[in-house]
Amino acid sequence: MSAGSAKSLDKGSAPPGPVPQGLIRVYSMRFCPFAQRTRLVLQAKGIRHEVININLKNKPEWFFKKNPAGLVPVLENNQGQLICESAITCEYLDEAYPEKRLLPADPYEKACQKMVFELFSKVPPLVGRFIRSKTKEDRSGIKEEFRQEFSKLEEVLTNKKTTFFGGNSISMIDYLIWPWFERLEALELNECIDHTPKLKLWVAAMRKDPTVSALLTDGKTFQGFLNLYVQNSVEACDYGL
Amino acid sequence: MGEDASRSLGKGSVPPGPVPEGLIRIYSMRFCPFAHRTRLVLLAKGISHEIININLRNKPDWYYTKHPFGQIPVLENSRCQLIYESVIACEYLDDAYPGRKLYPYDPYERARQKMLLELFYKVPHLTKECLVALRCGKECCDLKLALREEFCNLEEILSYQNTVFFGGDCISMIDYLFWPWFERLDVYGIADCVNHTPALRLWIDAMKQDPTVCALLIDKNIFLGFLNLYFQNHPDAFDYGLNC
Repeated sequence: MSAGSAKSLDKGSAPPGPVPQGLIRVYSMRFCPFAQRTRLVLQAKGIRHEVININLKNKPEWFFKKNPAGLVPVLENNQGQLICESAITCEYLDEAYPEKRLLPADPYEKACQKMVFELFSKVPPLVGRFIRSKTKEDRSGIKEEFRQEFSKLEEVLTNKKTTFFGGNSISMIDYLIWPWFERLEALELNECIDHTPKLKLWVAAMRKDPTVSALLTDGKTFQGFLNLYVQNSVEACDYGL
Repeated sequence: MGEDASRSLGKGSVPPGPVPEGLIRIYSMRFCPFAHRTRLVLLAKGISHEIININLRNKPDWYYTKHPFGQIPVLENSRCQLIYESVIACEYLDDAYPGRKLYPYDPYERARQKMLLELFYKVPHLTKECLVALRCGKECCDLKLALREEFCNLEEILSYQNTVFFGGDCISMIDYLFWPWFERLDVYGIADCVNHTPALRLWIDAMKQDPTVCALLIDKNIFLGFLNLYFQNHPDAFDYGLNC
C-alpha cells in the first residue's frame, strides 16, 4: 500500500512514470500537515495508493507540471487528472471512492462540517507564524491567539455534545483539522488546550483512532525535521530515513 | 418567487418569525456581491424562498443569533437550520434541492470547479479596495494592476479550455460564484480591467444572456445611488431605489 517512508525526489530527479492501474498517487512530504490530511483520508477509506515524496526545499522542475504553485499535496490518477489543494483532494477522494463515506450524506450536516472547517481556518497560519517567531513576546501573543481560536472549536463541541466534530464517530472534519493538533505537543503548545477540556478529550480520542495512529509522527522526529526545515536545509524532508 | 424589494431591517426591528414550511429564507442585502451568489443559485434552481434584507450599518441585535458576526448571506430553513459563508450556502442549496444541478456530477469536474474558485480568491478584496480608493479620490494603479493579473489567470483558463463558460459550454456553479464581481466592474469604475482579456469579455457577454443573471441584474443608476449614499454613511443607503 503506501510507501510513506520513501526518500523525497528533488531537483534533477527523473519525472515519475504514469500512475499504475488500480492506484491513485499522492505527491506528498512526510511532515507536511496539509498532505497529511490527504493521507489520512486515503488510509481511512482504504484506498490503494502510492506516495511520492517531494523535497520541498529543492523541488524537481517536473513537479511544477503537476502543480504550478509547486505545493503538496497533489493527487494524480491513472487518467492523468491532477487535483490540488488539500481540502479539495479530500473531498474528491470521498466522492470518487464511495465506500466508507467520511462526509455526511445529509446536506445540512455536510454544510456544518464546512462551517467548522472555516472556524478552524486561522489555525494553520498561526502555527506557521509561531514556528517563525523570534521573541518570547511574539510567542506569548500567538499562544493567546491560539487560545481564542481553540475556544471557538470548544464551543462547537459543547453545543453538539458529541466526542467528534461531526458526531459520535470520527469523520472528515476531524481528519481535516487533526494534523495541526498532532503537532501541538512537539511545538510545546499543549498549554493552549488547557482551558478547552472537550477539545483536550477530542485530541485524546483522535490519538486512539486507528487511522490517526497509523500515520502518527513522533514528536522527536518532527522536531528534528523542523530544526532543519527552518534552516532551509535540503535534508529536512528526509529526516529520520 | 422571492421578492427583493423589502426594506432592510435594522436595530430595534422585530425578529422575523420561523421560516414558513416550503420556503427557505435568505438574510441578504440588495447590493452585496456575496449574497448575490446565493440569490443567483436560488433563482437558477427555482427554489421557493423569502428574502430578509439586513441594514449592515445598523444591524438588529437579533441578527447575531443568525450569524455570530452579523455577516450575510445566511440561509435559514424551516427546521431552524442556519447555513453561512456564501460558497457553503450555494453548495448546500445544490445538494439539498432537486432538479437542475449546478455543480457537475463527476468528482473530478467538481474538484476542478473548486480549484477554479481558489484562483478567484483575491478578486473580491481587490475590487473592493479599488472601489474605496476611487471613491476617496485616491490612486489605485497598483490595485488595478493586481486585479488585471488575477483576470489574466482566469483568461488563461478560458483560453486553455476553449469553452464559453468556466465549467464548459453551459453555465454552471463556478460561473455564478464569479459573476457578482464582474457585474460590478462598470459601476465600480474599473471596467477597463478586462481590456486585455478578450475571452473574459466574451464570458461576461454570455453571462449577461443567462436568464438568471438577467433577472437579478442591478440597475446601474440604482447601484450608483446606493454607492453615493453608502460612502456618505447615509443610514438609508441599503434601501436606495425601493418604492416607499
